[in-house]
Amino acid sequence: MTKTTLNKFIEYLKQTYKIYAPVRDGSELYVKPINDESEIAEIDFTNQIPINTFKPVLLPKRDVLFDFKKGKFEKKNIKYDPECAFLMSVMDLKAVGLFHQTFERDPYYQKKRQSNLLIGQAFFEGTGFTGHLRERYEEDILEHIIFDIMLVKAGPNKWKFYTGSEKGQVILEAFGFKDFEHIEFAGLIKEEGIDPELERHRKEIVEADNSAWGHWGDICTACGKCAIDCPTCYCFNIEDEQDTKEKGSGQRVRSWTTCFYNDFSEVGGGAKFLKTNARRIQNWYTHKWVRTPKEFQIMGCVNCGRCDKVCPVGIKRADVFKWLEEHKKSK
Amino acid sequence: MINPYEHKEAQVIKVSDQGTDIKSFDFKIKDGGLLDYTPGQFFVFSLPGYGESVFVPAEKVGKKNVYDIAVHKLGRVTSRFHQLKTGDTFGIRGPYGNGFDLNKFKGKNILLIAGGIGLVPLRCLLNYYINRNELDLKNRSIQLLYGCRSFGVMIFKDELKKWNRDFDIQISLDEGDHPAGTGMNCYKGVITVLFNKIDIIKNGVAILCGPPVIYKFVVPEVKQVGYNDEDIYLSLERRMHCAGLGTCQHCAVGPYYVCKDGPVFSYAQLKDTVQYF
Repeated sequence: MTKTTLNKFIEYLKQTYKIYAPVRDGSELYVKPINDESEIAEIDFTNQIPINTFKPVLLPKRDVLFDFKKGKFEKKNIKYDPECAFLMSVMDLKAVGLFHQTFERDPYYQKKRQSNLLIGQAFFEGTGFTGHLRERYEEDILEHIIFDIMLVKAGPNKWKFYTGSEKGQVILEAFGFKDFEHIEFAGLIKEEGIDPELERHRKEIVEADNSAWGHWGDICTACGKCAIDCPTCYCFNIEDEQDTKEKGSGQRVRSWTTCFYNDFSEVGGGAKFLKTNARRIQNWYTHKWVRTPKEFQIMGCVNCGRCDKVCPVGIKRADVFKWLEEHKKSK
Repeated sequence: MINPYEHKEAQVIKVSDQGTDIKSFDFKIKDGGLLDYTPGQFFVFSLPGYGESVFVPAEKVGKKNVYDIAVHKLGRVTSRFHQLKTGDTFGIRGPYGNGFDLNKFKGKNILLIAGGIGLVPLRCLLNYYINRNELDLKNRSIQLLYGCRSFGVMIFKDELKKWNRDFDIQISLDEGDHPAGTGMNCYKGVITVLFNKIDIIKNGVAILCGPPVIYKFVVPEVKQVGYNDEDIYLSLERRMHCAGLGTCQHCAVGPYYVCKDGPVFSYAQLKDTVQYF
């Protein structure tokens, strides 16, 4: 598909979906809503990782679970407006895999997923593979991630199309485009298992002496930015909001939070189990590298690098792992 | 798809004062249903407009399909709970978590150690045994060590008196005195004083529930008595929002989720986890 046809395709999608796509702002990309033709022209195809994520398309920042009236809950008909995440990176789509596992039995997430369309973009240049080998390499990656449609850069202003779901196939065919290949999803875990480097990091977290985290607790400000911009973070609160006009009416709302916030672990009476920044940053790393692999046999980090980039005090994962390793040796 | 956040409706049938800022609520499920659970599992209680809170209900002794919870008034939901009267309704969803390993407890001595409102899950286990005639005191010993700040905050005093006829109960009070006539042995000080004053039963399982501080100081005492790490059980309290689904992350403790992998853990599982107390 050429760029001209691609723009027509975006216009076509816009008839059904509210589109979110990466747009350049200075040296960085940000995921923004695409409202009109001029904004379509601003969509950035460079495959640079945007600072923010497509997470709201999967898990709304504020989601109403139930309404209640006169002190009684009402049966909820779960419904969402169709939204399209356009040009998700392979890393962000790996994160979708984790969301699928985590929210497997969550009817809100499942309905949201049914209503949305996930379109990815992958660059496989520089892999060293050519011809048939390159196709094998591409397919090997694509069959382990979740997407509806995937654009693979096939030259200047030219993309090869893959579909990863029936929904993707139906949409492309309805648009009148048939030159795509379908990829059968083969599960999140590759035959060769977890990436050895990530596995090494998992061991470092498990084996880290608790005192090792004090150093990072002194640096971390617990602002939560790494978690908000992380495509695999999904901490949430569920709280009731009362309608100020109608007594006994309101909504039960699920909303984003982060494990770095002060009241995150507070129980009745005021005790906090993640009392210090050291315990909070340790908990964050434990979630990514220990709890997630234990539960789903996949890593909770997709290596997108957003946390390294947005941390206001310059904490980088590579430095943390290096520190943990050296701390262990010094013991 | 079943919506895990939906709940059944329950109705309050009796409200009793249990101690300072603590009330118990007898309730039944409105459609007459049973709560099918293993002692130690928890439920999520819901009050529209106020939110959800986690409690461990217990069967009422000798009453079919009637349960109760003890609610300590500490926050928004529990304060609203304290306003409920007989006939009022609330939501309930669950059960969640693992509960106690009853098969493993069969025929074994049971050392129960509770601090404050931590008596609730242990009472849930006792009521379960009593209703099924499974205390089995001919073949084993049960001993309850119960530490409280003062006599005023001791809960379920009437039941403690009744239990004391069947098995050994030892009380510690941080402040004030224990009134005469209850028939229970009482010592002044924090719960660890009991380990120097009395004979603690051995060769069984020890089950602890209470504020985090008791785990820190009581587990070493229990180990000193001779209990193995695998035979010491802790029932943990944590903040929960999804409460039982293992998604919201609030209750994470090291590699575990208290709502899914717990709330009952063996000490062997937790001893290397810094955040457990």
